[in-house]
Amino acid sequence: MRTYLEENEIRVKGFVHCAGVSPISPLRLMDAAAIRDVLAVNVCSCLEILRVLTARRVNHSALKSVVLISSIASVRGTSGMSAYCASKGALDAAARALAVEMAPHVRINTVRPGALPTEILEKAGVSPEIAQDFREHPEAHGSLLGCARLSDVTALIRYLLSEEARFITGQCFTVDGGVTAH
Amino acid sequence: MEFSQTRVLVTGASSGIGRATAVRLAKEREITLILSGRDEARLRETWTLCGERAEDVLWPRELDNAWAAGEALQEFLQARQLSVQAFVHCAGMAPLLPLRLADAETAHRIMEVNFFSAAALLETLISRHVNRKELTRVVLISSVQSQIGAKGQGFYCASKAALEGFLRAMAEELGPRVRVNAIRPGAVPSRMADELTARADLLTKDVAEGYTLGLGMPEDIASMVAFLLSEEARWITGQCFTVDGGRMAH
Repeated sequence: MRTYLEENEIRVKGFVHCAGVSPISPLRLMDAAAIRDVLAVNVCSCLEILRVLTARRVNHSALKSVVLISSIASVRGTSGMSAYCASKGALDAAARALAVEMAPHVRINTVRPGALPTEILEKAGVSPEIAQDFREHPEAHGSLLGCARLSDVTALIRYLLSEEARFITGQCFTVDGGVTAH
Repeated sequence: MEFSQTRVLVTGASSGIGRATAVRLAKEREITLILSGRDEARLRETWTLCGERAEDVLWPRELDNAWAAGEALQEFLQARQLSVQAFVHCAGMAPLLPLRLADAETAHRIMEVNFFSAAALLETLISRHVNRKELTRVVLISSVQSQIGAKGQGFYCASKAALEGFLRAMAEELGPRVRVNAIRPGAVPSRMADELTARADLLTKDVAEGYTLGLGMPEDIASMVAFLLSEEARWITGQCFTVDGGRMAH
């Protein structure tokens, strides 16, 4: 990435980390490589990218706002999700530390969505029927406001990247239809 | 941002965050306002800053008797035949009141203005008889002090924590029709904050060193109010969003 930015003379002003995997497995069935893989994709890649984007000779202090996609899994445990939950908790904690470290020029926050209409479950090996049923019955897992649309989350990401959010850093913002409120 | 046709009741609109909120919301064509506060002259100034729009109305009112204010709101809405789609509670008092100097009257007053008045006004706004099912959005101004203590602010901190516990219950009780959220501002200059900053002996170095992005402006909070009232926030309820320049990150 460093090479790409340098060769193309690109300056990156905002960074949104949406990449993430969510394997569903009881811990006793996961091996060390599987656990490391979740942390590598969900957390370490993000920190590596941030390191490059804050290197003065690469990005010339252009970076201003960062949003990491965490999850309500950071604060609510679910059986089979230990590595995923750990990775999302890690992102929230990293954001707090980095908010202090990178202030005042760079702001960093996380967004914790509830269940969204993406294919993350299918990619984790969940059958399409079960995944669809999960998405279509949000009240069964606590949503007070029905199903989400992706725009429910992208709107907040856009806000956090903008100058309107100039005083916001080190915080987690939950967009979950009220699941974590009760 | 997108807004549906919305009349917003803003308490605390005569100054500070409430005033900034009113001014920000008045920029939206679909939004009309009921400006509430203690001081009618300052409310009128807010109305001027909002562009002297004919569709905005003033409701000067003390909030230190919560349920009397709730009844007065009912009479006001019925007399003017107004319906209210959103409620933003910015009214609040933060007198320095160390426990050793606390008296019942002041302690109760803080809880009444900061917390109970929000509940009582909300009760009026969800009354089908008064407002039908018009209310769909509530934003309460809490504070980082709901989570972190400070000398002389025990009752203020308690009142903000009360607001937050209450809103989570309301999110479940009034959902899905009504979304209820709070904003936790950090240090933002205002008339309310003036009394705190004047008493340097009760301040820690907090304010200078704790805020990694410096002090905020009321506009920073107003901007988040607008977001939470907009269609963009349709799936957000029961939450407290902190706008504090990084104060609570460490």
